[in-house]
Amino acid sequence: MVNLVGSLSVLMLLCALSLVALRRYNSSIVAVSLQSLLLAVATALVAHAMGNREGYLAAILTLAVKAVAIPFILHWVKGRTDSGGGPPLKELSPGWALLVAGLVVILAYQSASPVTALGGVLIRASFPQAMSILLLGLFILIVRRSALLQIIGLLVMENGLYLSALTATGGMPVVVEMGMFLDLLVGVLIMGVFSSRIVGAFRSLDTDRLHKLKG
Amino acid sequence: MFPLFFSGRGRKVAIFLKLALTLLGLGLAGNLAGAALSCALRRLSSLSRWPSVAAGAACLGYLAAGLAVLLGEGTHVVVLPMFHPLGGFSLSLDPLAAFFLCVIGLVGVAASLFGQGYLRHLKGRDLGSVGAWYNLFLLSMALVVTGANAVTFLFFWEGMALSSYFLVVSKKEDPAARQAGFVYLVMAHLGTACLVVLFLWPAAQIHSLAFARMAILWPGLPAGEKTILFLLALVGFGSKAGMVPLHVWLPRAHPAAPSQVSALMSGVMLKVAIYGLLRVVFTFLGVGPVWWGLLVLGLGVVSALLGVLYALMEHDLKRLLAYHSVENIGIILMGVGVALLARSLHLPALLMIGLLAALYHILNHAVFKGLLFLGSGSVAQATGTGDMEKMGGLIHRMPWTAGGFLVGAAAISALPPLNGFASEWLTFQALFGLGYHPVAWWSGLAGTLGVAALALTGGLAAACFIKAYGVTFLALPRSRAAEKAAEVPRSMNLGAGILAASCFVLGLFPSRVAAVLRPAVAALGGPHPPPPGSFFTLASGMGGASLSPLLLAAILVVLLLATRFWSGRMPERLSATWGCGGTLGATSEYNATSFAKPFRIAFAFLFRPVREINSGYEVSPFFRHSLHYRGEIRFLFEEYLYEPVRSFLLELADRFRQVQSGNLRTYLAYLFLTLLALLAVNNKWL
Repeated sequence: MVNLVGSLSVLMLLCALSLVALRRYNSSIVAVSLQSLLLAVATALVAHAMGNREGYLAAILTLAVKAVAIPFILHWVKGRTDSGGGPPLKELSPGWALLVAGLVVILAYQSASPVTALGGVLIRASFPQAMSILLLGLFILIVRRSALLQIIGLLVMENGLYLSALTATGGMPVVVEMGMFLDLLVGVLIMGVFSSRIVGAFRSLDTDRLHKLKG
Repeated sequence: MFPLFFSGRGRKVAIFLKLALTLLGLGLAGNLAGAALSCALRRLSSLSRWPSVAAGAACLGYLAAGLAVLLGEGTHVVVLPMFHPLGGFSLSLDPLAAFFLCVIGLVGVAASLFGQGYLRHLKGRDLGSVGAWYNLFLLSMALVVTGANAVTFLFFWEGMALSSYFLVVSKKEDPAARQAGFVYLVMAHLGTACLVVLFLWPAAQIHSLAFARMAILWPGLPAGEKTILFLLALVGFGSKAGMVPLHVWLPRAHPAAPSQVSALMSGVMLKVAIYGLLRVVFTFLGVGPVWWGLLVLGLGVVSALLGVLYALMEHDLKRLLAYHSVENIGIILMGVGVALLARSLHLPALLMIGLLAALYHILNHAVFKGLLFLGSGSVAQATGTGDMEKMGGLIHRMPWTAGGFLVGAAAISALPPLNGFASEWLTFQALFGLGYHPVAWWSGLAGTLGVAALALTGGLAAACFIKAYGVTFLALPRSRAAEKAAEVPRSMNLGAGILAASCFVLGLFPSRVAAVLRPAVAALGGPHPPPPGSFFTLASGMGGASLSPLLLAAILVVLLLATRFWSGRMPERLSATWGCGGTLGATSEYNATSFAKPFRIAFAFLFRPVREINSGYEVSPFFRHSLHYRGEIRFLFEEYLYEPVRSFLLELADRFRQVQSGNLRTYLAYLFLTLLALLAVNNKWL
């Protein structure tokens, strides 16, 4: 069971790494949905292992919010933009981005070692991956210029954070989980609305153009 | 009821203290009521006098409370059950606090009385907010001097700075006032920062913010730490007191405030800073090395001389008065410096004279500077300007104001028998005492140089007030506004009259004043027995010098009557002045700039005067159609001390602005890199 959670977290890490390289909206949304789906399965497995009935509720919420509702919102935002129009935004090339991402993962694994040395089996199996995912999410936020892909970066961070909390505690109280999901949903909704406003103002999702608004 | 602690002698003292506490409480309540009233009535300009009335009543309470403690001798501690996590507010009315409460009360009563009439005609200011901040300003000052722990002190110290800041910038749409306010705020916060460190740093070791504990435990601190604390106190309180070179805000901020507020800021707020200095240096820090006293004495000399010299060059009445405040703070610091030296050298008689001189001059300066600022306010209201070059001849149109201003000018020039003379005489005695004591060659030198500097200061101050009075009140009016000036309402003159009468009373009975000040001197560690002298005579107790202003006054009155008698017998003849064939008018009068010219030349090394004359002509330079003269002096401290610091800070800020690109992703990258760096440090990679 523990091994299975570890494997799932490695798969999630692979999703995050692919998101570092991917720049198309459709495939990015698919990748982040897949990562959320894997997270939901991992949540359910941990709930089963701990015999924690509430954990199943968390898994169902993860599935509903992160793997279904949020991708739906992202698709809506994408639909608002005239996708494919204009040249691709100038960003760090995928090769260089993956190289940096690899270094970040190494650093994360190194830094996680004091924690894993002290923690239980579950932590040992998946905490380094969780931390890597968290840092990669932040990295995506920095590298991407498009508002939509930045939202995806934030979701990756959130997934990493959730995974680390899950493995460290073996499932949080359901009240906390619900609060988190509500926050996330509202946050993504607001960001989605803002993105569509950015498109309305600049005919592009490029957040660097916001710079022009500075007085 | 609040927990109370008494320390004092006998039942009579307890009654005095209860009375004092009640009066203090009434005063504080009066200020709060005034502030609330002012906010409530801001739309009704016909009722705008009531906040001033409340403030005046409150100040009467402060004055009475202070006097009750000074006459009853005792200490009263009140703990207010507020803000307990920070140690709570607590108040204490010891004789030192009581003395300063008296100063606040006396000037506050006069200023509030003046303000009643003055505020009604004030243009361009929001009367509601002026009334509210005015009350809060008085309240904060009263609570600073009665505060018994660092929290109370710092809280109301900051309240005092902020409320006076809002009064300085109360003139809307005046860029000069806003700039003055900014300079004031910067200097005030520089000082407050020093004070926060001053009080909180030792608290880590002695685990107490109460002043009573500090007085016991601070003397035991290591000498190096005490030196730093002393310097912090000097900068922190000196920036508020207007000590050179921290005086730059003073000539800017004082003219921008309404006049009765200038009177309070100059007359009282600077003294509250001196209160802090005395409290910390004399009662907390214990006996220090000799150089402390020499440093304070030196700063006093520099402040006194530079203050009066810059005042001579100033032609705006209120700015001139503000520079004189720098001068008088210098004189007070001379007394404090001598007292500090005497304490280090264990000379109790000199210590007492030094402290007495400082405290007496604090009281006197508050009174006559308040009077002068109120007079300048009356003049400014009547003529609509503060520029002396546009005044003249006001003595015929505003006789009461002119009379009050004359009393103030004579007092600040230390003419007997007014109060300025008594305290400057005491300062002279202190400096002479230091010069005579065969301690070391440097103490003799310091005392002698101090005497010379004080004498020069006194002479220059008298010259400056001859200029100020002569140009403002005598001769012919130099502008239409001055021609049309009329006497101000009676309540304003009454406020000034209280202070003018105080100038006489405090000057004629110096030994009585010294007796009342005795508990405050004792609270600062001065010896207890009263100075020798009879009811009418004040003696220094050193070298047999003594002073009897009543006798001097009697001689002066006799001389005055004699000259009137003799001049009445002389034949009198009136005729026009010969004007070389031209007509003489107001423009050919000797004005402030011409009066100051000899001083500008004599002290050119300090002033570095710049002069520029532009003449316009068409055919020949002998037939000019216009002539423009511009002359100004340069301010050394601003040019060589503040300007480099200012430009350095601005440049630094420009460099830092590069970091703030305004791009979200850049900020995220900072975050990311910081996080990675921290992780690397955690892994011991770096």
